[in-house]
Amino acid sequence: MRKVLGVGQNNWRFSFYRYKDSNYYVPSVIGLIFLISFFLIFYVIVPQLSNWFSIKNEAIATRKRIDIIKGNINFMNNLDRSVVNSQFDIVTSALPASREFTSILDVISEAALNAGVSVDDYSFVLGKLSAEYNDDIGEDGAGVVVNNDELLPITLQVTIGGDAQGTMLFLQQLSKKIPLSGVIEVEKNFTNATLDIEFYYKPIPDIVFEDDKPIEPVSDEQKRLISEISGWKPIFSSEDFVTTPTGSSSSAPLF
Amino acid sequence: MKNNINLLKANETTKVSKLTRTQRILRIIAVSLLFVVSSASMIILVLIILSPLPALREEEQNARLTLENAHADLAKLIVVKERADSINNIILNRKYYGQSLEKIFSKTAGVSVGSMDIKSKTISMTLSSSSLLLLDNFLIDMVETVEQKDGFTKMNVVSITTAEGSAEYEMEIILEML
Repeated sequence: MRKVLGVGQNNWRFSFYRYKDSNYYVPSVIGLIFLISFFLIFYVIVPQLSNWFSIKNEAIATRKRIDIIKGNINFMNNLDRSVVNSQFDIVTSALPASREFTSILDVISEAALNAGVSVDDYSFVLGKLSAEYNDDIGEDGAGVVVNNDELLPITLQVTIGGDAQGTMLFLQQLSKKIPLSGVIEVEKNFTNATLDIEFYYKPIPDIVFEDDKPIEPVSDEQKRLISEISGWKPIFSSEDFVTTPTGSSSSAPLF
Repeated sequence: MKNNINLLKANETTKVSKLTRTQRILRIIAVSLLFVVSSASMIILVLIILSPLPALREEEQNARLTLENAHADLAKLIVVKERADSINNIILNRKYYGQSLEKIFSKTAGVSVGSMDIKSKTISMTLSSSSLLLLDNFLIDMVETVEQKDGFTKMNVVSITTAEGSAEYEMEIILEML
C-alpha cells in the first residue's frame, strides 16, 4: 500500500521536498560531499596507501632475500665439499672440539723426538670444565689472550730430559704442532726441564643458519693459515710409537 | 499564475532558488573530489590485490627449503671460518719462548747455559764459562740486541761469581721479553 505523505509529517522524505529548493540545500549537500570525501581520504585512502607502500617495501625486501638465498644456493652448489671437509679436519685437529689427550700426547712425543729430548714425566691439569673460562691466562702476560670466551685450556706439566738447546728445540717444535698449545712456564735445571703447557679446545657452538645473509667464503688469509697449519699435524700417531726404552736409564719415551 | 489566487501563503524560505556561480563551482569540485577519492581507492585496492608479495613469499620459502639441504656443509664451512679466526688469534698471541731462546743461544759461543727459568715475560738463566772474555762478548751482544729491541726490552745482570777451586765463572741474568 502506498504511503501517504501528509503535510507537516516529520520524516526525511518530507524534509527533502520541504527543503530541496531552499537556499541551504545545495551548500549542505556540497558540504556533506566534502565531509564524506575527507573522511574517505583520511580513513580509507591514506591507510590503504600506507598498506600498499608497506606491501611494496616488503616485496622489495623479499626479492632481495630471495636473491641472497639463491646466491647462497649457487655458492653451496659450487662449493668443493672435499676441500671443506679437509679444512674442517685440519682446524678441528688444531683446535679440537673436546679434550683429545691422545693428540696432545702425540704432539709431545713427536716434538720430543724431533728435538732429541726424552719425555720423563707428564701430568694433566684439566682446568675449568665449562665455557665460562674467560682467557685470564694472559693476565700476567703468559699464555694466550684470545678474545673468545669459549676457548678452554688443558694444562699439561711435562718434564723433559736434555740440555738447554734441547729444551729450545722442543719449544720450537711444539709451536709448530697441532693441537695448538702455548707454553706458560719453563723451569730448567742442569739435567731436565719442567714445562707447563696449555693445550686448547673449543666446543663447537650452536650454529644458527641465517639463510638470508650472504655466505662468506673462507678468506685467502684463512686459507693460507689452514694451509700452513696443515703441515703441523703430527706425522706419527700414538699407535706408531714402540714402547722400548731409550739409552737413558732414567727416561723412557712417552709411548 | 498570480499570487493572489494561490491558496497557500507565499513562504520566503521555500522559494525556488537559483544556484549561484560559486555554488556551481563548489558542486563541481565536490563531485570531482568524490570521484577522485573513489577512483583512488579502487586503484589502490587493485594494486594491493595484484601485489606480487604472496608469490614472492612462496618463492622465498622454496628457496629456503632448497638451501636447507646444504646446511650440513654450510655448518662445516662456518666452523672452519670460526676456528680459523680462533687459531689465528692463538698463534698471534701465544709466547714463542723457543724463538727467544734461539736468539740468546746464538750468542753463547763458548758459554754454557745451566739453569733457566721462563715465566711470563722474563727469562732468568745461569750461564757459565771458563773465560770472562766470552761472558763479556755474550753481554755485549745481548746489550746490542736489547738496544735494538730485538725480542728483548731489558737485561739485568744479577751476579757474576766464581766457585772456589773452580776455573768456571758463573753469571746470572734476567731478560725481559717484548
